[in-house]
Amino acid sequence: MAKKIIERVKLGIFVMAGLALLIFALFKLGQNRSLFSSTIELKTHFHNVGGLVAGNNIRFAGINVGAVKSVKIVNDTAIEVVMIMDDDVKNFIRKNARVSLGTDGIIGNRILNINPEKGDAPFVQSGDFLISVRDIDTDAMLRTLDRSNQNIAEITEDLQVTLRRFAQSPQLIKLLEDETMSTNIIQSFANIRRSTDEIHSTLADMRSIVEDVKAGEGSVGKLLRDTTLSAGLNEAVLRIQTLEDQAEKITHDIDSVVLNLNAVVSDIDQSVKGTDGPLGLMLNDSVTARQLEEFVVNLNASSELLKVNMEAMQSNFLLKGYFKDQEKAEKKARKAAEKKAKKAERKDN
Amino acid sequence: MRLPEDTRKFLYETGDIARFSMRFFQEAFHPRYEVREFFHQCYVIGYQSLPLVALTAFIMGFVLTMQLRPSLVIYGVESMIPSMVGIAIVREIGPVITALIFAGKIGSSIGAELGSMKVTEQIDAMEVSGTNPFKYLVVTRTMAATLMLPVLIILGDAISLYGSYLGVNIWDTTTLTLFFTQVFEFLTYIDLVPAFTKSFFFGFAVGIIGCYKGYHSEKGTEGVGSSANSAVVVSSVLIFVIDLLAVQISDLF
Repeated sequence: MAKKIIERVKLGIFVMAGLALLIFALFKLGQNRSLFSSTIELKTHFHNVGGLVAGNNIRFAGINVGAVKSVKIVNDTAIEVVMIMDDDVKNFIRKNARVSLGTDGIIGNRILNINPEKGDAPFVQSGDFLISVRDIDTDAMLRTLDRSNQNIAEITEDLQVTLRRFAQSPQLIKLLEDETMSTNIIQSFANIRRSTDEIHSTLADMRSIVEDVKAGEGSVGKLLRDTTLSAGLNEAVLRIQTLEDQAEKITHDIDSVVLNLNAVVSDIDQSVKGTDGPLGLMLNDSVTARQLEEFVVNLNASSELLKVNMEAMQSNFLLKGYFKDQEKAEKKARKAAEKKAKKAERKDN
Repeated sequence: MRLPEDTRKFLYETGDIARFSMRFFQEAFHPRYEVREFFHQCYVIGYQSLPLVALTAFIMGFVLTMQLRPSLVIYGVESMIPSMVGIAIVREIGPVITALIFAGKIGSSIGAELGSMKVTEQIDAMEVSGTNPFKYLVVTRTMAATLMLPVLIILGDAISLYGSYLGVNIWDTTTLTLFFTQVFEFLTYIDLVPAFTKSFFFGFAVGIIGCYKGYHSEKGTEGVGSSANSAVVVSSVLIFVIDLLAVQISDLF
């Protein structure tokens, strides 16, 4: 009998182990399919589901949260997808979340991605409708790619022509092969850099000056900033004004003096024009003037005669020696003067 | 029209097995029930088959993993080994291999046991003593086989997957948690439920064929041997036939 009991116990353990494993497996599968926990149901519409079938996974921010319950055609442009999701996610998915189609890996199963959007919205409840994002159409993508490819081909051809032209241009090659060029460029850059540094320091100086001016330091600063100075300036301007007034007065005086002078001159004029006195006689008497003229003519004639006489005397042998001596002395004097000038020149040099 | 002898014999046996099964259902659901004998048979058929099933299942999982690895490495998807092995074992290899081992062990033992009882006329003696031999011998054994094989298959699947886990760990490193997460990642009810359902049919086939062959054993030691032998052969073939039907039915869903 004891043997029978042991038999039963062993059998019980055996069967229980089998059942436990079965229940574990079913529970594990149930976790995948969300059948044992409470779920919520959400809906969305797509234009094209791209092979999505019931049972495909739904991911929220990359985590599996549920599965597609059904895919059915509503009309020719809308396909309704009903999603079964874990009850927990209703505390995370908001009503403005977007549903998009995706692929698990490159060639994997279709999946639905639920992506949160920016902005505040209430959390979803069972039966809510989510907005879907239109899937990237592979055909459209390929069409665009084709156009891009054609453009690239054209560009490459143009580039080829350009490069060939570059390769055949002797100037460019010369420019490229010139070894001094690079050093020149480097030097230029160094110069530019130096200049920039200088500009920089200059600017810094200017800046400090401006700061000084702002702070009221230095004469310009004082000029601009000192309030007492402006008062002084005011005073100066006032003084200048009084000075001007005085100058006006002086000019007035000068005017009166000039008037007096005028009167004196006109008096003199009158007195001169009058025939009385030697000066008036001399200026006004026409007879005297003619006599004076005669006198000058006579003087001219006599001086001419004197000139003839003198020439006669020069040619006279008695007086020849005297004139020769005079000439020599004259020459000597001229030479000495020249020498002196030369010496002075040398000294200057 | 006279059919060839072999064909006639085959058709006769098929009809006889069907009738035998009908009688099983008639007797099984009517009292009195041989409960004590049923539990004893469960112990013998289920519990005592576990070591053999466990060993073969473990080796199967391990070998399957090692054999799949090279081709998966070519495609760079060796990380898919747990999922692939999981599906293979749960859907097909676990039930079929375990059922075949079960047929080899239990089918032959039932056939030989009932055959020798028939030959030594113990069955007739039982009838005389007032015990229904069909209830006592056939119903208990067939019921036990039907109910125990699914349990063995579930345990065998688990042991297979553990073998696979060790096989994966020879080349790669994975944890048991990750391994089972990956196994269940691609498993669905569609994989588990048909496999579990068909295992009842496998068990029933092994039990009923073993009992039929033993119950209708011919006289002599030779008869016992041939009944044990043909029990294994027919039940193994039936397992494949049922598998073929099961895959077609489960494919409808």
